[in-house]
Amino acid sequence: MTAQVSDHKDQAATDLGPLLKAENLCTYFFTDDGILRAVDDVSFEIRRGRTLGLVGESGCGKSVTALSLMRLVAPPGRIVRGKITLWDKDGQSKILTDLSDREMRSIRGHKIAMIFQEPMTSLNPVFTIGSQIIEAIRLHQGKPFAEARDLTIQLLQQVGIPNPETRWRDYPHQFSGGMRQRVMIAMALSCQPDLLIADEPTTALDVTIQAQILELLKEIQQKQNMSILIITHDLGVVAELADDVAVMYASKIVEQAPVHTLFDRPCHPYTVGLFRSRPRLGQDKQTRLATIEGNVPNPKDFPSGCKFHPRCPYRQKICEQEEPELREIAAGHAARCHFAGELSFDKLS
Amino acid sequence: MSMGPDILLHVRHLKKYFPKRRGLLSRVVAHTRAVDDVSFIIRRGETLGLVGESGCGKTTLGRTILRLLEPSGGSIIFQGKNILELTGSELRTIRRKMQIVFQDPFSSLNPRMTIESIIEEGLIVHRQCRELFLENAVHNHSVDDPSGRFFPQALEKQKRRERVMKILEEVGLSPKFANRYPHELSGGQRQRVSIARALVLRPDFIVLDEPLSALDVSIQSQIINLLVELRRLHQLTYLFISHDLSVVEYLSDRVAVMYLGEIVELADSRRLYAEPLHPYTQALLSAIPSMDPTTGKKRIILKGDPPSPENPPPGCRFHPRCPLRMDICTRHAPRIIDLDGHYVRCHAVEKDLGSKARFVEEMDSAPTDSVSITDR
Repeated sequence: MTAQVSDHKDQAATDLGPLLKAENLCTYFFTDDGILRAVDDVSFEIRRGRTLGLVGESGCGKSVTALSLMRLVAPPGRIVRGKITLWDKDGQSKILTDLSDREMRSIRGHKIAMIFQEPMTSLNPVFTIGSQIIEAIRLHQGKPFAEARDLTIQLLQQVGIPNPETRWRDYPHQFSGGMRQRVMIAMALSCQPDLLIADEPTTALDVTIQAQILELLKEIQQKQNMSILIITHDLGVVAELADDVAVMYASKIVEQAPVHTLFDRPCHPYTVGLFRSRPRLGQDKQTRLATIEGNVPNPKDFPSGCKFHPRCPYRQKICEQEEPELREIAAGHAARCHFAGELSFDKLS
Repeated sequence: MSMGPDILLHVRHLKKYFPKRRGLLSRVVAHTRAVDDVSFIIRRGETLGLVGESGCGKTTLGRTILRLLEPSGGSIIFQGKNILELTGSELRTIRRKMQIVFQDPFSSLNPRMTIESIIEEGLIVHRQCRELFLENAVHNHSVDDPSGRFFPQALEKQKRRERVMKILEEVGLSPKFANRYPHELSGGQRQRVSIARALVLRPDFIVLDEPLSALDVSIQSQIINLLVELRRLHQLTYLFISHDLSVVEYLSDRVAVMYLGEIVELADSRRLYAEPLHPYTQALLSAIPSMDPTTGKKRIILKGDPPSPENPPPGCRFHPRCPLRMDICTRHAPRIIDLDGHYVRCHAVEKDLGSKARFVEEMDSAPTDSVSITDR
């Protein structure tokens, strides 16, 4: 048990073509109180072997976006518009939004797997973790029990669970939070998915365990050339893992860029606010932290015009009336702001 | 040992063991040592940050200091009095001076009470308004009822209301919130109410138990600024418990790092972050995700999970995960080394220092002047 010193991921990744593309995705919830637009006109692309970070605060629609990709949105929610396309290794495309439920079941877990924030609630407490992974393998790959069990042990080994030969017979409560998340990852990897959706995978974990899990995800990605969609509110996690970033606010993407561009030259006032409101190590204690005034808007009652305008320090008349389009400012860098590219922000220290 | 006037709280050899019961007769079979022999000082106006992973005992420590949990041993000297020896009215008086803000503003506010009644409850329990009024009145010889028995209730109610409104304003909530219920408020607003509730009795010392972790990023910075502002306004002293190391650095003058019930390192915040000595602190600091995607940060990744405090490993409690582990670490618990007010418990540091190492029985046992509190 020695310390392991790791390097940052290699940035010189080769482009292997697109894996998944969401176009104008709209997921609404038809509640008794009216229509709740949880995901509104969201488009993005995930390249093969790359990682997209989806950043936003609670209630901004990032988890519903993930569930929409899996077509797991429960009523009264429904995908009302938009197209999700998934490419397989030979370049054949499938339009997920047109598939039947039965066809979708063969995609879920097989091509796209998902891990959640709280691993305890996603594991069944009355079955051993081994039997839960074996079930997934047998269901999707039709392997005999013994083979599936060996594969399970191998997977548990791969995600760093000590003594997998005996521990696969243990129940979820016998594992710690970090170990449970590893089990979830093992289960997600069992069918070698092309895309792993990780919804706040480290939020419930301690920092040292978070570092372990992020390291594990990077390692697996490199080995298997898997794509990752990581959903988080933590810009630090994004900096660590993502190649591209989409920032969501009030059900829409407000800024989209490669990770370096976004951290170097954020263009939307909300993104800038997010960066500034975190204290940095070594920050002067005499200066006040910059804040984003006000509260995260309620999806039942979004403001008019630009949804960020009540909290925006740069708002003008037009922001209250007209909703801005997601506009490209530079190659691959788009922002949903009337003044994108025109505002100049002080250098983020 | 002298108790300087600037020392607000002195915790010495504090222990909190939870008995573990088994079997038909619920016999105590073992103890979980949630807080094990912890000593430190908090000076007036200082903020001590307490960091550690979940289960390390930091919340238990915070609660034990306030006697919300009864300690198993040690002493807690607050404003010169050992609060473990106090009872009845003396304890009540001193409790008014120490308050707590809890982590989860969704479960720590009673959903059936209005914001006003939540905040004023402390005033009622401690009969604060009446006492304040009487102090003034007796001083001015304007009443001949020093017992306060005939203090008009309506007047008391009115004074309380004034006080609640003032506090609401201080924490940045408009007076219209007074008649609302917690479910009508957002997370940030609720946490402001929790802070108002703690402040209404004009305490000297507040334990902040992870007050930010349930909040959104954009709201966290608002609350951090509020805490800083209130600290200046009322000369407050904080014990700030958190697992977020960047926030702890921003808010704290000194920082204590806890691992499995023990403080393994305690130092001036600038020194601790610039030059962490304990391998656990080093790993914690290196695990903070860097906000810069370009720098390939060298990271120390600890293997394994923190062991259970029910059954801590022998010797140094950190040894099963420690990258610098030596033979001695598995057998003997390290002593506390004092490097001019930078305290650390580690055999590797001891070996590095050789004969220069100076040992102390408890952390902060000899308050030196080398630790200065940043001027605010």
